[in-house]
This record gives sequence, structure tokens and C-alpha cells, in this order.
Amino acid sequence: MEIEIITLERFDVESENIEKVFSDFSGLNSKIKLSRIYEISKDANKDYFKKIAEEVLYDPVVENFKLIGSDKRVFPGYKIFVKVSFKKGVTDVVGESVKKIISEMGYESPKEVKTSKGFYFSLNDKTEIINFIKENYANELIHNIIVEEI
Amino acid sequence: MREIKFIGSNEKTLVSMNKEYGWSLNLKELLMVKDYFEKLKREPTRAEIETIAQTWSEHCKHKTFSGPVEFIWKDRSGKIKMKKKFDNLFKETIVYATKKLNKKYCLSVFKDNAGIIELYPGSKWGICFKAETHNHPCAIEPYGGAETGVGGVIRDILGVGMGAKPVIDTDIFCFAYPDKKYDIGKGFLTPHNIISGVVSGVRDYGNKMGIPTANGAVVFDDSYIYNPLVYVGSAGLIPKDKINKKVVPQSLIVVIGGRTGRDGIGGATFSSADIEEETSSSHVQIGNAINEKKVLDVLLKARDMGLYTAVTDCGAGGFSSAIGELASDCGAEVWLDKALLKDENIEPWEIWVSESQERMVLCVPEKNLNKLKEICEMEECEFCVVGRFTDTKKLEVYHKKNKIIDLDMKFLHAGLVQIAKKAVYKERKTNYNSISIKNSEIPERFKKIISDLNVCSKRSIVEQYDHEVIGQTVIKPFCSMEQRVPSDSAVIWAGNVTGENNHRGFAVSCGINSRISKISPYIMSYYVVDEAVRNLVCVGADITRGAILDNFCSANPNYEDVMGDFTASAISASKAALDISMPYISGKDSFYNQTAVKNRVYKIPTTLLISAIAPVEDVRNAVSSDIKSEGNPIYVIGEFKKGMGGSVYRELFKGDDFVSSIDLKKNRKYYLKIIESMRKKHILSAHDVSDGGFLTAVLEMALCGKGVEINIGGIKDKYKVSDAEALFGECGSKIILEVDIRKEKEFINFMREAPMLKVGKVIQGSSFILTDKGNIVFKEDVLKLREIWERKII
Amino acid sequence: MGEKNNMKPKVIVLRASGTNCNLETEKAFDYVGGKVDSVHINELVKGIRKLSDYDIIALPGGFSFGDDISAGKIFALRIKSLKKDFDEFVKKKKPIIGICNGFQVLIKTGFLPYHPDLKQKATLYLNDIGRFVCKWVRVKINKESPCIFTRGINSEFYLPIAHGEGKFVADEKVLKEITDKKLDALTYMDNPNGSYEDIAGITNEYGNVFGLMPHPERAFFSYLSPSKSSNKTGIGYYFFKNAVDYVK
Repeated sequence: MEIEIITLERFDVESENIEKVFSDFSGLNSKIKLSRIYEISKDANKDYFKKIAEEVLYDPVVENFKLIGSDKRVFPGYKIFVKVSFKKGVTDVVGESVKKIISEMGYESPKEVKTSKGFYFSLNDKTEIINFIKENYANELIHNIIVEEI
Repeated sequence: MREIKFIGSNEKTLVSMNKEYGWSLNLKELLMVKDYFEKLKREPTRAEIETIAQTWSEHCKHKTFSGPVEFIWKDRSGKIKMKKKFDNLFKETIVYATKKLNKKYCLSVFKDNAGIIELYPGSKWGICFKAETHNHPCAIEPYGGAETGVGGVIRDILGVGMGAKPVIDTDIFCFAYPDKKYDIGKGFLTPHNIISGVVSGVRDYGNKMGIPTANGAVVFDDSYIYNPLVYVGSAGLIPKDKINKKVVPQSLIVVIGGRTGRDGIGGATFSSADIEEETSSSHVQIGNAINEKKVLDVLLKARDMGLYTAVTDCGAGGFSSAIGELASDCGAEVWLDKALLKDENIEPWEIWVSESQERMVLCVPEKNLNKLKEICEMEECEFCVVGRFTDTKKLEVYHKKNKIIDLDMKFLHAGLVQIAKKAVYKERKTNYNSISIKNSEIPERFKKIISDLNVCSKRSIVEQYDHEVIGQTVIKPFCSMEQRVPSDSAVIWAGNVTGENNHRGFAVSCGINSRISKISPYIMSYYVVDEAVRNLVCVGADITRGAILDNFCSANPNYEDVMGDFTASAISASKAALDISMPYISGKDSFYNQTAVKNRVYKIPTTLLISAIAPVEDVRNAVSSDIKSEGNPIYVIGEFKKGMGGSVYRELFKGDDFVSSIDLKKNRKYYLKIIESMRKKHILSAHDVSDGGFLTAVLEMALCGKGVEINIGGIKDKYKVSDAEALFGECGSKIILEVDIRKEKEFINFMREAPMLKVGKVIQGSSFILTDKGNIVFKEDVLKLREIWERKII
Repeated sequence: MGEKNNMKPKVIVLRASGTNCNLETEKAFDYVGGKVDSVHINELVKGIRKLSDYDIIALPGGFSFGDDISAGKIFALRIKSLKKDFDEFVKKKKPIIGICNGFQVLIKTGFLPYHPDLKQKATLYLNDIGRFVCKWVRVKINKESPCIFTRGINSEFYLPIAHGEGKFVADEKVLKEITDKKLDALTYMDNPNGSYEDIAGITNEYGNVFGLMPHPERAFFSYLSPSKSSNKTGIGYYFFKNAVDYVK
């Protein structure tokens, strides 16, 4: 189950900043939304993941979260979604930390927790977007870059 | 147990096997191995060869620098000026200087993980200092490479003696320009990508470790386009009675810190291979600073409780190097299946040579094991017992019931007979050409210089590093309340760590210069030793009790011109140390910094970083670089010299390649005078002249919003130099001083034997005024110039 | 606060994996006359030490648990079982100071802004500039705040900050309560991170709990300031002296 954390619009300076960096880099404009994704490998009902999201992962003052299981990813207003995660064999330090705190909080321990960065673009230009991500957010030696049309 | 075929193999087979497995052994070494196993009448295991490859690698043994060199020096016409045969270049240059100087305050040199000097005469504490490079990893994965580079040098400090507490980190980078468009080709990272990754990596790791990153430099030059250089240093405090370590047979081999995984398999041998367009990801190492912080906390606690007798860090070569080194005089029995693993998918030999980060190896007497366990549990630091030190003089490594390594320590640590490297140094032709500059050109050119990446503010980088943690940083990277004026050295008080009720501390600085190196690596080395020491003088550190580190970066030493430049550089570095009377206490070298792209080979110029450290008697009296008050006179100590060689001006506009020589014996005399003058409180601020030249250095001192008026007429008259040389030349060794007007007479009298010239004064307001014998050449508001200088880099 | 006379106030400086400003914080309290214990949260959670044995709690700066998930979050979760003990300490009007990471922990455990339900009402978020910043900034003390740590300190001065997540954010209602009740004990004069209402530090209604992003322990001696003066003590000294004097 994927738990996706997004900063509420009115607090999201980070996404605003990256919109500017993207426009400086590519000369194009796009609405951009960042997200932090935690993929928790565990056979459990929605409630388990909801509790973990609420108690452990999200900030109730400025953030919101979504549970994305097998449902298709949607985000109205955005056309391209890029997910950057660690390749197999590369240590996911934060993922391990989350796995540990989940069991320390008294929940059943998941098999694995993987973290990823999510980028939503309103612009529909895969090439420009991939170049941008490779220059600033991902190194193909250690990251997998998955691009989805949504 | 996998077998590899050496017995009966011909040379061709050995060489191709070497290439296939990536061992980077030369033919002589391969034959030595073949010989050893033929005598034992068995084939070596994969684990045994990997161990040998790691132990004998360039990275671990420094075969090039510590090997024989046949050196020839050719003058500008091609005639042989000098010929010399070195048996061990490193010993006969760097170590030679230190031995000759024989300074008693050096507590440990060239052994152990870092060099150590006394904190002050009679002190119970020593300061240890080490610097390293992490170039190849940063070229392919800048963030991870920088993180693990920092982690590695910090571990060297953790592993010196019985463990030291790191109290300051340094970072020195050489990059290509982030704002230039290069046609770099597929698979290579842009300078911008590398710079942001490296800066972020150093930031995240250093900040999380709680060590202030408080000194460094950034150099920009096209030569580093495919081969960035990332030097990281760390200095620590260690009680004198904890400097010696001893491995006791029958004690347990305990590993604390991170788990072992497939990170960096083959890292030490990797750094001996040129970067080609394809590199596999198992060479990439990932850092986890919190693990190392836990190790630091456990180590210092356990050290003070006397729970172990020796420690060293797991760096290049992993367990194979760490345990191999600790056990080199006695022997060890290792049980690899007892190692804590990240992932069960790993071969036994991979566990042995893995370079997983954040691990330290301890020699723990069995009776102390439980207490150590308690401490580790409290700090949430993992540990495992992986073997026992023995007195068999053998290295025996097991995985469950399989013995995968059985080697004589003597063979493993054998002195390798190296083939002498050919080194030919060719003096470059440089002619002196006096260039003129019109007064009307000065303002625009000055503004261009101060906005050049090699001169401008590095604040956008430096501000990302916590330089205050531990609460001991007295002189920070930027001086003045608003932190606008770049400092020359960091000054660290030692009191929070030593617990002593005094104000003793030390200063850290560096010297590096790629522009002069492209003209003459020989002159460059001499200059950068001077620059590092000059920077210490600017804060009033006691250079009579100081020490330096040498970190050479070079291209492929199998090219005779590359080896020639390197050798000349080492010879010069040695002479410089003797002339300025500062011993080397540690050093490192990094070769193969070159890349082949589309049939062209891009080599870096020989780049020597000198890091310097010296005690500060009373940190409250350390002199900062920001101008203090209106009315004070400004003096320059040190001669202005001919030549625009090595200057930023020359890179941007026209100029010759002539670099005037300097004499460190002479310089030392007036450096000592300046330090004494500071003790007498004549001097309120000091700053040395380097990138950008004299006018830039004066502006830097005024960036806190002070006004200055400078007259160059006097400079030209006294030193017979041109306008350009006076304002923007970078030859010579000059220090600018703001003298307390109330002590000016005393100062003049005290400094009369030094090359001294009054060049101006601090004025009211914030105007930056340049005059030439009464005529105003240039007048601008300091705050406007500051805006230009404070441009963002990343 | 009871007859202490010749007894030194007992200070517990709490740390976890990744805490790294504890040494200088301990030294600061020691210098002003406190008896300091450096305690790992595991010792508290396991019951080896008890909060009630102490007079002052200090949560120093650092990167506890690597700032994984968010700054101070895991530390806050790990001391969840101790919330009652902390609350008793607050109710007994004993001083608690959270510096930088310590402030982040107090915010995420709901101890600041203080409400009896101990729910998280504000957050310290990513700096507007998008990265870590280390520099000295001008700050101002709210003379009308009840905060015991800032009593009698000169109103405007410089303190060093070093953080990546220092932007104070809360909804309008919470912010109004803070400013109305003068609980914004310390504010930035040149806002370095985008904090709402320029908040650098806040306190509770009684004034015994104080959380701030700047580091007073790094400004303890005057020679640690970027601008040298002839004063012996730096501005940071007074924050610690106030706590210890209050206890005595």
C-alpha cells in the first residue's frame, strides 16, 4: 500500500520553488506538486495503513495523505507523474527508520518500507521533464525513474 | 568455495583474469601471487585474491608515491637540468622534510589514521588532523560520494589512537563552471549537477554528525569537467594518554556501527581505474550519518571506560583492510557468518571486502564484552563479534565451516617491488610581459573580477553547513556581526571538549591553486604551502608549533609527463615545508583523475591541497578579517611582485604567465613579526591577498559596510610594478593589516625590517575609494560592490 | 520552588540517536550552577531515570533520528509513553527548554503551543528558502511574555540559527491566541525562514515551557559572537541563568 503525503496548497512553498527552478531550467512553465511516498509491504486492511499515516507519517497541521492501493493514480489538473525511488540493493535509510518506528509504536511490523519522491506536472512534455528530473533529483546509478501519464 | 586458476597459467591468462575481475594488479604482482600459491600447491580462493588486490591496491599502499621514480628535469629549451633516482618518492620528499625539522610537538606522524600535534606546550591533549579525497565516487554519484567521503575522513579521526573526538571538518572542491555550457557527452554529469550533489552530501553528513564544517575553498576551472576533486578534512581532540593502541592476541574482533552489504565492492581497486563511460552501480556507496554518530557516541564512552585496546576504521577494502592491518603483527581468525548483514544475498568474499559505511573494528578483551554490549544497546548501535586476534601470524577467515582465506600476514603485507616510474618534468615557457590598464577600464574590470566564481562569495554554499555546533567556533567562515567578510582561517576553542578552564584553541586553514599549476606545478606547490600558512598568520595562530597535510591529486602516473609534474610538485612541497619550518604530519594522494571521452583524454593539472593547523594561545585574541573602525591606517606587509601569472585578471582579460618566485624563509620572518605585533594589540584586522588580487582583498575586509580609501601610487613607486600588477596581480605573499591608529607609531617601529607599506585608511561612511597620487581612479559604494560579490553560486 | 539553599538545581539534558548539541547545552547549565545529567531517552523509557527527580528539563538541538519522516517526529513518537510524566513536570511549573530540534520535539508532542489535550497544534516546517541555513540573525524579546527564560534580557540582539525546518506554521486561531496572550517570547527581526508572525520561540501561559529555534548555548561566551566585544558573557548566558535562578 502506498501512503502519499502532500503539503496543503497554502503551505506548499517547496512546490512553488521547484516550479521556478523548472522554468529557469527548461524555459517552460508548469504547475508542479511534490509528494513524499511511503510504500508499506504488509498484508493488512486499510485501517492499519490509515492509522500509520495519521500517527507516524503525516503532519496534521500542514499536510494531507492519500492511500493508493491498486487504484489508478489521479490528480486533476496534472498530466504527468514521475516517481523517483531507490534501485534494488541501495539502502533506503529513511525506509528502514520508518519500518523500525512502526513496530516500536506497537503496530505489526511490515515486511519492508520503501520511500519515493513524487512529482506531478501539469505540463505534458515527457522529454523535458525527464531531463529536469535527471539533472536535479535523480541519479540513474542509484534511482529508478518511473514516468506515468495520469 | 570458489577457485581461481593461477597455477600453470601463462601471463596472458593472468592479465585477462585481472581485467575480468577488476583487481588492478600489475603483471609482477600477479606473478608473485602465482608463485606463492604454486609453493603452497593449491589455487587461491576468490576471497584470497580479492584480499590481496585490496591490500596491494594503489589506494591502500600508495605504490606510486611510495615507490621508485626515475626523475628528469628539462629546462625550457629541452636540456636536461637535473636527474634523480628516488627509491621511495614520498619518504624522500614529504617525510624527509618532517624528519629534518624534527619538531618535538609532533606526537604522531605518518602512522595511524591521522597525524597528531600538541594542543599547547605541556597540554594533556593532542590535535589530530586528516584530509582525504573522494573524487571518483563524486564524479558518478555526487551526493552519495560526498556523504561517504565525509563519513570516511571522520572515521579516520575516530580511529586515530584509541579514538579522537572530531571538532571541525573542512571541505575543498575543484569543479568546472556551473554556468558554462560544455559539450560533455552521454553518461556524464553536468558541473551544476555535481556541485549541488557534492555540496548537499557534505552538508547532510557533516551536519548530522554534529561536527562544524568551518573551513574550506572552492576552485573553478575547466580542467575539472570530468574529474571533480572533493577534498574533505577533519580535525579532532584526543587525550595524550589515549594515543597508543595495542592489539592483544586472544582478544575479540568486534565490529560496531552499520551492517555489511554489497556497497562499494571493489572500491579501492576502482579508484585505480580511469573512469570509462560505463561503471556498475555496486561501486556506489550510500551513507547513513546517524549510524556513524551512534558509533562516535559509543566509541568515546567505551574508550574512557577502557573497554578496548585498539580501534581502526573500515574504509577502503572493508574488513579485509581493517582487520588485516590491525592483525598484521600477530594474526587473526575471522568468522564471517557472524557479521550482521544488510541483505542475505551476499557471497562470503563480498562480506570480507565490502565497503559498507559507518563501521569500526575494535580489539576487545573478552572480559569487557558485556559492558560494551550494554553501551551499544543504550545508544542503539549495532555490534557483532566476528573473530579473535591470534598469535599465529596468519590471516584465517572462515564462513561457517568453510575456510575461505589462509594467508601469511608477512606475504599479505609484503614490501612490493615496484617498477620505477619514469617522470619527466618540462619547464613551461613563460615570458614576462608588462601589461597596462587604463584608469577608465579599472571599475568595470574590477566588478567582473569580484563576480567571477573564483573570487565571489561562497556564502550560498557555506551557509548550508552548520559551523557552530559544539559551541566552540570563534572565527567562523564569515566575520562581522552580519557575517559578510570572508575569513582566512577557522579558529576553534577547545574548552567544551577538554573541559579545561582556559581559552586555548587552534586554527585551521588551507591553500590550493589550479591556475598556477597549469603554468608550473613546481611553483604551485611552493605557493600553496605559503598560502595555507599565510592564512594561519592572519588570525594570529602560532605557526612555530603548527603542522601541514599534503593531499595530491594527479592524472595517470604511467604517463611520464604526469609523473614528472607530480614529482616536481612533491620536491617543491618538501622544500616549502623546510623553508617555512612546518612539518607534514599526514598526507594522501589520488591518481588517475582523468577521463577518456571520444578519443580525447582530459587530465586534471597536478592539484595539491595543503591543509594547515596551528595552536592559538588565547582564542579571545584571535584576529578577524573585518575592518573595525574609522580612522585606522591600512598597511600591506609583503612585496608586490611582477607578473600576472596565476591571476584571475589574466584568465578574464589579457596578461602574461609569469609568476614571480617567493622565498618562504624570508616570508617566515615577517609572518612571525605580524603574529607578535598582533600579540601586542597593534593589529585590529588582517586578511591575505589571494584570488582577485590586492584590490579584491581590501574590498573583502570592508564588506561589513565600512569605507576605505586606498592609494596605489605608493605601491607602484616602492615596488616598481604596473597598475594591473598592483591592483590585480596575485604573485607574492601579501597580508593587509588594519592597524590601531593609537598604536601606529609602535607598529611602524616594530615592523620596520619587514617589507611594509602604508596604503590607505578606513574612512567614514561606506565608500570604496581608489586613488593614484591624489586622483580618484574609482569610487563606489561598498554595499553596491557587495551585491555584485554576493552572487549565488547554486 | 522549595527550600533549595545550597543545593544545585538538577538539570536533565535529554538526548537520542542523532542529538548533537548536548555537550554545549550541558556545559551551559553547568556553568550557571546546575547539576547536569546527560540522559538518553532509553534510560527514561526503561525507567532507569525519572523526570520527577529533576528541576529543569532541556531538549537540545541536533538531528535526532536523522530528521527521518520530519524533524523531531521520531523522537516525539518515542517519548509518547512519557507524555504524562512531561505533563506533570509542566503542571508543577518546572522549567522546560527545547532548543532547535528540542523545540521541534515539543511542537510535535503537543507541549507547545500548550493545550490540555496535548494535540499537535502547530508545526516547524521546511524553511522557505528550501534548505538548511546557518547564520546569526537579529531577534527580539517580547518583554510582555511570561517566559521565565527571557526575563530581563536586553530586547534586541543576535543569536545563531542552524536549521532546515524552522518555519513556524499554525492556523489563524492558534496564531491569534499566541500573539494575544504574548506567548511569542522571541521573534525574528529579519525573518530567515518564513515563520508566521516572525516567531522564533514561544512559551506557555505560565512561562515555564519555552521552545526556540535559535541556539543560546552557542552564544554563551562573548568570544563566540561574530563581532567581538569586551563583555565576558555572551547573550546566551542569560537564558540558562534565568532557569537556574528561577529554581533556586
